[in-house]
Amino acid sequence: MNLRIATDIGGTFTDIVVTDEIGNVNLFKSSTTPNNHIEGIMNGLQLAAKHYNLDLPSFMDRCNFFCHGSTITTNAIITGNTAKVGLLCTKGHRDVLVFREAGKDHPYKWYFDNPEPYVPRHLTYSVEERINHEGKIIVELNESDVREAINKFKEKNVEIIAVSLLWSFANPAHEKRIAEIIKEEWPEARYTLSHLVNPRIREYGRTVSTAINASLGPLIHNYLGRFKDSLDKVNYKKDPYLFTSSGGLTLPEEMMEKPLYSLDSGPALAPVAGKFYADKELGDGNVITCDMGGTSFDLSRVTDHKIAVTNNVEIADERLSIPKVDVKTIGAGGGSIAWVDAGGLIRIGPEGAGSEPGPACYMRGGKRATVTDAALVLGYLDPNYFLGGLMTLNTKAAEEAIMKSVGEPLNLDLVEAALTIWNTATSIMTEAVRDITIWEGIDPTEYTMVGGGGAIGMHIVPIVEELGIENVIIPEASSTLSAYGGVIAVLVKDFERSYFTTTSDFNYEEVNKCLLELKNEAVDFLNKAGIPSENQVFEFSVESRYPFQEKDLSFTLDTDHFGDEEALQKTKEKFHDTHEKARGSRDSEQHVEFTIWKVQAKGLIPEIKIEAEPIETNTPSKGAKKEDRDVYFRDLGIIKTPIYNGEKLRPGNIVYGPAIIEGLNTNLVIFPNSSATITKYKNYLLKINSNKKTEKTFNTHKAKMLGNV
Amino acid sequence: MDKTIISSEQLAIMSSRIAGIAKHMTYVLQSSARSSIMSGSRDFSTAVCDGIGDVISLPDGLPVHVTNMSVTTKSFIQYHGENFKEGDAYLNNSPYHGNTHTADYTICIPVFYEEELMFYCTIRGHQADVGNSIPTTYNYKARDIYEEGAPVFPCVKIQEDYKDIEDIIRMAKTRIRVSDVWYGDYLAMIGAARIGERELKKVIEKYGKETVKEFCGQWQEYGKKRMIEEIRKLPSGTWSNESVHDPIPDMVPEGIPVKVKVTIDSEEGQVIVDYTESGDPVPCGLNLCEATVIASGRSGFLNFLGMDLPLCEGALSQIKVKMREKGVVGKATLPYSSSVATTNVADRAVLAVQSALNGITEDKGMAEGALSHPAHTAVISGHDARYGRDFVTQLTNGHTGGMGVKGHDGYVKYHCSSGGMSGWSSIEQLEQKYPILYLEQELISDTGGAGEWDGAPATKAVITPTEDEITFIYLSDGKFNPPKGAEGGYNGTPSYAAIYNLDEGESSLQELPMFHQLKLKPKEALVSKISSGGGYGDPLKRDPEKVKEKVIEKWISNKKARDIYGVVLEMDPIEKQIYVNYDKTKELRKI
Repeated sequence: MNLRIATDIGGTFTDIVVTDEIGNVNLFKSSTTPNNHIEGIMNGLQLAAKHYNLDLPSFMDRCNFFCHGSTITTNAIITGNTAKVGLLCTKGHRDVLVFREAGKDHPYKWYFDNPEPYVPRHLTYSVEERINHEGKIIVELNESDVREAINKFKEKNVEIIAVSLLWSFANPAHEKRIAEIIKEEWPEARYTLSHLVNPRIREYGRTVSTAINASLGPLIHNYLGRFKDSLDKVNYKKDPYLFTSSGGLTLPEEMMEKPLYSLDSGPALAPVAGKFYADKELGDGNVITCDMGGTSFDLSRVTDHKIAVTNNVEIADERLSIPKVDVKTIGAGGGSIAWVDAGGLIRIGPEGAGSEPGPACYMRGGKRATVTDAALVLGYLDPNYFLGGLMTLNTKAAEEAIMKSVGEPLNLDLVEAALTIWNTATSIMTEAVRDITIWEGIDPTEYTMVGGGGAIGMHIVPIVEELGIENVIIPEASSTLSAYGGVIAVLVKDFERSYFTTTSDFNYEEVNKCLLELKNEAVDFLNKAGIPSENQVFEFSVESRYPFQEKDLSFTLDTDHFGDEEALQKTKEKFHDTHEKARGSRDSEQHVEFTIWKVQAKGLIPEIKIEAEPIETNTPSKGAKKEDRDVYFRDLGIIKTPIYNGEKLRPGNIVYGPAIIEGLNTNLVIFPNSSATITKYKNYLLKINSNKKTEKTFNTHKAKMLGNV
Repeated sequence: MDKTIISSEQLAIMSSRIAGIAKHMTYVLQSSARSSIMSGSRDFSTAVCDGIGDVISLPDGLPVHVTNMSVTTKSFIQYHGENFKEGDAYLNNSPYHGNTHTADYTICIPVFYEEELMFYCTIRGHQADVGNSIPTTYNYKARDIYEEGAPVFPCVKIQEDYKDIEDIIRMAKTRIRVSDVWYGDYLAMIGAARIGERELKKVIEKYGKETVKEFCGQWQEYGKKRMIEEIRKLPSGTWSNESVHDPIPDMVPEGIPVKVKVTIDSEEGQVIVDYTESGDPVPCGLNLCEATVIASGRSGFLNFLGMDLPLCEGALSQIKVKMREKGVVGKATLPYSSSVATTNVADRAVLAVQSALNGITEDKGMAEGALSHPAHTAVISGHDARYGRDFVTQLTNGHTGGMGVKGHDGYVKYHCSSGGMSGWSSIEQLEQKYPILYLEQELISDTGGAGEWDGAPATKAVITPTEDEITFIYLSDGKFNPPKGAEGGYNGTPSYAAIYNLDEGESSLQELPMFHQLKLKPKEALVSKISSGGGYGDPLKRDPEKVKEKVIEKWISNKKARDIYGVVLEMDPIEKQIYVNYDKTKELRKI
């Protein structure tokens, strides 16, 4: 039987997901090898091949689909380990990357160092030229400025040139001419042009994304080259698919052109998995996906079967204006450190213990209490069965850390202190879910939650209970959600064009031309990628606003052709509705401005046909039970709680709370008011009682006061 | 009945929930506002106040807007106290009634639950136009409120039963320029406040009224405790300082001195900022008002602390601000105008406090930062033939020149009254929205005040109209009294404004007054420089490597490196790299 393989490189582990055509999934983890990521992947593939009793080439021979996500570009930016870029810009505007549209995050913070521009000023050269907002050339390009700058770059050993001129997306003539001059002056030089990387208004977003794109170019070329060689050696001859930040897959050739879209591509694939599971299990197209790591909590959402996308992307403090899956990340995870501030308030993070030294209970030198330590003390984790028994935890170390960091300062006993840490961390995650739903005018109760990450099963019930979400899926592949997203993702590429028009003087001809051109480009791309036309899908959308607004709102178009006034009216109404829902106001009298027209091309890859397993009895078999353990639940206190072995639960089994299910890759705390059902696809479906309004969420009965205020 | 008890955990959870609501309002308002001043520059702030009008949560607010929000909210209570009803909204833009200046519209919504008033959502935003006698929201020329000209709404009801009171809207639309943008911004503010109301009700529904009230009290106590802890780290004493606003010919020919005494009571954990030695009201729009004097005193001290403290009234009220009942740095009194109450003299009032305490602790201290309203942040107005529409807006780009502080160089994108929070619009967006062209917007080398920690450089901007004539009105402080350096640091450089003809080139350059209204035609360009930040500490003590870096990056010249910092840089002929000649530097620094 043919296999599909996805690999995803994380900070600590490299995940390998292998599925067959009927959906059987096997997960493998190998240690990430920071100096040469490919080694870690090959180790993981070896593990997988061994599981299938095959040597690596025979195993790869059975693979008809291989995809890959990596964080090498993101890490390169964070560590500054990128290529030396020379930037060419419009005269009078060399400080675009210093200014970054200004705005700092705290009004009274002054004792800090200015952030450095992505390309230093001494490698930034301006050339005389100017184009205006209509794309008209008002100052001709001074070619000797260009030649001089290129020679300076050569002298300074620049590895790649980024060109970003004002209004280049309205008229790329000068950027194109500069490209020609580069070829004349320095034929072997590499370069990147802003109107190709990011043809959008706002010079800072366009310039920084062009500079970042350039700085990753040499790295990604080298990496993908080596990666293909390694695959070649083990008998995989096809191009691997690569994760993109658009929540889909692309081809190596595309990625070398726009490495920018490899940034944060792992987290962008998690909602793909979330969408898949919610659809399979419940037929629901509204999904919130959360993926909990050591010190990060990633959230994304799917509405009406569409993954939410944003243009406000922040990477290493730079704000790139590129369309990307909207993933909100907060610094809260199992490794987040708990502390008490000078006013007696419990705080979680933002500092994390990482994997080294890790939580106190890891016994690797960490002395400060973390969320994982609290989970251990509350009985949610089995010290002898952490990560399926890979590691033993030390409860005493966790207790000491909790008492010292939180118990003593707040005058709480051990359990109260652990509970305080636990609940506060959970509430931080809950607030983050609110940010991506309620802030956008979305009611979370209409959504299904899909949880990823080994520790998510311990927090998810209180989170969804607080938000009123009724259905939660913890997939079998929960601990490798992004990689699983890879094996079910589709080929995707975004095309867009800036064209300004308004509802009061709508230019039908130009808009229709623009949409048609976009579609043609999209069709071309999919044809080249070998996607048959019946598997080609196109989704059109437009960015728009009321006059004078600066933040555009994107919404999908129901048509790819504006035939008459009626089509326009419908689109206008859709804007008013979208604006009212997301931003709380509606100004029906105003006309609407359209700025960027977009199409997303999708090439569907044959679906995995998961086979359902027969449903067995509700009651788990005796063999699935492990020994009871003391676990703390609010309102119940410490009680002897049944523990189940997740590996031995069968489809149809229902586990009622209070209980704990320990799987190889995940650990589920089933709170007293909830239950877990093993589904026919072997995922966990958690159900929460909806009768919660009358419940007291807080453990107020014995709570101790804030210091001595 | 036992008092409801709030645990540390519950305090953390409820406070983050309420801060989340205030941030949610900010997010919605910024995304839906119309004018570039409110959306791009985010010249607005949101707050959640408790049932007695004290601020609970001020997320990311602009200092001049928010450290005084309790005063403004209590003003609404004073006039409408007993009569608040669910569905009401009130508007205040009166500096004589607890607001900042007439351009800041403050919307206040009382939040009821089971007929009990539990919270207020208060949002303050700077409107692009407010109907002044000249097209600017900073009418520095106004000798009194009558010349100022903006319609004043002193705590006026603007919505009932969740619907606009059309009479008020009609009055405003009649008197305000480009009123559809004004109305759009108003709608954005109301929309955001209503979202805050809706979400706060959910919080009350969940926790119950008594718990929520108890939380409010305890949160103020928590804030107070945090602030006391910080103040106790400082020594007791009283320190005086002065910062003088530039003269304006024919109005305030001597300038406006801001005098301040800052008293720290370490034991009580309290600070008193006393402005009562400053002078009488002045016959121009530069007078402050109660809200902005409070904000200045509190912001100046908070700048100096530089800490991440809970911004609630409990914390803020440990910084007491004394002012005259009637004075330029005192309460606003009719008929004097406070049109410019949030910047200019307010900047001076902040700077005088933040640099009064230098030397009292090892780890803190700061110089003065750049001053408000260089010519390139003018309010511009006119007609845009491209779209057949009128426009009025304030430009906010190019505000740089943060002060050198102990341990760090100045923050580049500095803006005193917004605490550096206000953003800049993209030049492309500005050019698309308004008929202007930015020929230049760049840092100027050798401008930052030298110090062991440098002040940040000034920015030069060159702007020209593209189609029709455009009116520019600006009020640029900092030419005669540029930002002061501290503890041996050099002063920043002065601000500057000029005009030249594009065809004739820079030889036609003519210097302009610093407080000015002019019409610029196409082919005429405004050249403007903001002042720059003062340096902190002796430049001869600056790390020579840092001097080298700034030379490479062309922030400073080789000459300045040698003359002011005493650093000798040489070029390695083989590596073609600049390096510090430490021997020569040591020699030079001895002299």
